[in-house]
Amino acid sequence: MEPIRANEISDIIRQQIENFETGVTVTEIGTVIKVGDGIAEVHGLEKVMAGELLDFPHEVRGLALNLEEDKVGVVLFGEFQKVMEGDLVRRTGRIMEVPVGDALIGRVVNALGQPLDERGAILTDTFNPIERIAPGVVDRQPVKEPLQTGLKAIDAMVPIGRGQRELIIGDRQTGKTAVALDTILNQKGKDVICIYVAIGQKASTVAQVAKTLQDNDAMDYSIIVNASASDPAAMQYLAPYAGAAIGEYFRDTGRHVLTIYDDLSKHAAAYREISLLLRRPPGREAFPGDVFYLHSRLLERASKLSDAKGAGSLTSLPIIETQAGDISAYIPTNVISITDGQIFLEADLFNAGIRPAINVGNSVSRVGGSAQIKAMKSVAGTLRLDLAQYRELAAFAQFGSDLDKATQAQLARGQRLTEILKQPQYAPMDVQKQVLIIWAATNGFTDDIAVEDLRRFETDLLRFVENSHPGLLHSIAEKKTLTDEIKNDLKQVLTDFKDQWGETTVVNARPTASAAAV
Amino acid sequence: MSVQSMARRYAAALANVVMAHGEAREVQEELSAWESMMTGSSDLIEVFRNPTIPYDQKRNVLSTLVARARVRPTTANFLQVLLRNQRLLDLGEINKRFARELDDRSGVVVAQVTTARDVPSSLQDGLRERLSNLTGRRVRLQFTVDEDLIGGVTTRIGSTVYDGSVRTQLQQIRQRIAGEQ
Repeated sequence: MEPIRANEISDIIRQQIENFETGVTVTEIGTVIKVGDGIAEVHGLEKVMAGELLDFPHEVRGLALNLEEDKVGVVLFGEFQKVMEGDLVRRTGRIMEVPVGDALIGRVVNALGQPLDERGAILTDTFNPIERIAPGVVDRQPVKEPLQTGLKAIDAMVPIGRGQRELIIGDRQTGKTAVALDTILNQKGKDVICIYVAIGQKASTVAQVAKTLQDNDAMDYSIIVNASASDPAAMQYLAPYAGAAIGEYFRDTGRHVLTIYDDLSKHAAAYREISLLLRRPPGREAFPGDVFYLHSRLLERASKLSDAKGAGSLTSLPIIETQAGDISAYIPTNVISITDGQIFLEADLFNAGIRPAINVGNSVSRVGGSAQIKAMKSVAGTLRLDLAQYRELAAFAQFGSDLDKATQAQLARGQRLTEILKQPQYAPMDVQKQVLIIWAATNGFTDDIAVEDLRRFETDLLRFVENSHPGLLHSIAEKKTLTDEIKNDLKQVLTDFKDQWGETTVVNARPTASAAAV
Repeated sequence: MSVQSMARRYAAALANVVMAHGEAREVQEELSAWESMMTGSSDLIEVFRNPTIPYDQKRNVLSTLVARARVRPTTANFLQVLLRNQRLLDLGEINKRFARELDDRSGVVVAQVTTARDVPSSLQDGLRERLSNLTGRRVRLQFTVDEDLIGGVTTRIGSTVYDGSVRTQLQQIRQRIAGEQ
């Protein structure tokens, strides 16, 4: 660095002062008449707008939420303990907004867009308002491109499309965040910017998420918006809207965005806290009357824009935590009815070792099917049918073992399909590989393999195909449909592999191998 | 109901009456005099505040005082209404609102002018004229001196502040230099 002389510095300062235009500043001010619990009541500010940003002393900011006859109800951000009765409040004339732009990618920010990582200021001069009306009907087009989660169970049976809103719902400790994280990891190299919004989470959990993303090189295309449990309720209330506003910038510039709101139950609780402190009347479960609108206006911002608008998309994966599987509580039912489907995770399945613990019967995707590639659609149809029959039979089969052959075969198929759909964490899988595995399972190639050997079979098969027949995976990915030619190839490859694999199994002399099969 | 909205309603009602009778200034003066008399006498406040004293006794006290002070009938009636509605102790707030209500109705705004030093009367007229041009209404000036301003003038009309003080300009320079580098 070149040394700068002291008089150079004073020259620069002198210039600044000489260029300073003296003039009268016109501001509108009010006085704090009451403050407490992160809420202030302000007298004055007659022309203040709803949702306007207000300046308090000590660098505290506020958001005008209640405009009343002779006072304004404000929620405070920052160190609101410093605000005192009688303090002057200034209007800023700006509706609440966050910085947006490419500079945010890879960063961890709070609900106001201020950096939380120690990587310096975020240099951007673009701002988006936090609350924005969602695109209208004319500006949208139907969801048509897939957003691959990399999880076999989801991509096959509850497919998600770009621009869709798919709820992830389940009890605590059922792997909701894991599903979301795997989805982020799978977007590597797919031109999707991922925004993970943590609302009311433990700071340690968020740190863990950030580390996972970093370790898997996923921060290169991700943004974390964090309002952890220690942040004021106002921050937690704003966080998902800030995340959506940041995402909208990328969507409106023709790119694809995935936002994850983790989780909206805590968001609703934060909003309830603010509402009660602002003396808005409570309703069911003490939530205010507009708690439905709170979430519907947020999730409505997920969209697939028309070609005229740049064809960008914003996909949302809201997360809801249920208590003891109760999906008929107020907030879960609300969000289920807003979203285009749900992925239902169950503690029983999780404990039975079925991970991801997706309840296939209760999980649906209302629009994603049209986004699925043809190849996946064709294998998933059989998969869904087989699993449904298996579930029905399994309930009966528990009563006795005297079953005919067809039933036994169906049970065996179901067990193998369930096993095939299991997947370890942080190991998302490309769609062509998913097609390969599921095709093998639904066409009976796994029926003679013991259930406990299936995972090994799967990894060995994938390695075999990758090494010996990479063209097969390529042609599935390219053609996106299972032509007769590809089907024949699949048959051939699988038969070859099974011959070879069977031999190695015999050589290894595993006692459980074929003896247990069928 | 908050004290402010209560005060606004009483003030508006009273303003309707006094405008009709054309005795606005007189009633306003009498009420302010009454307010300062009440604040000056803790016994009197105690009498009106104490809930164990029956209403009839309070009314007698008020009637005697009113007769003794020889106020206008409008003022006397208003005080009686306040007593009956248990709002007599909020007279201060009502008076403030009443003054503003009268100003509003006669097209006058109050401008609070803060300067670092006393303003000579020649400048006051100029300031008043400029402010009336700005607001389009007649302006009544209230002056305060605050040496912290260093120089210049700040004017507050309603909740709008016109800040031309040296202190604010210095703060802006500091923000600009510190903020950009």
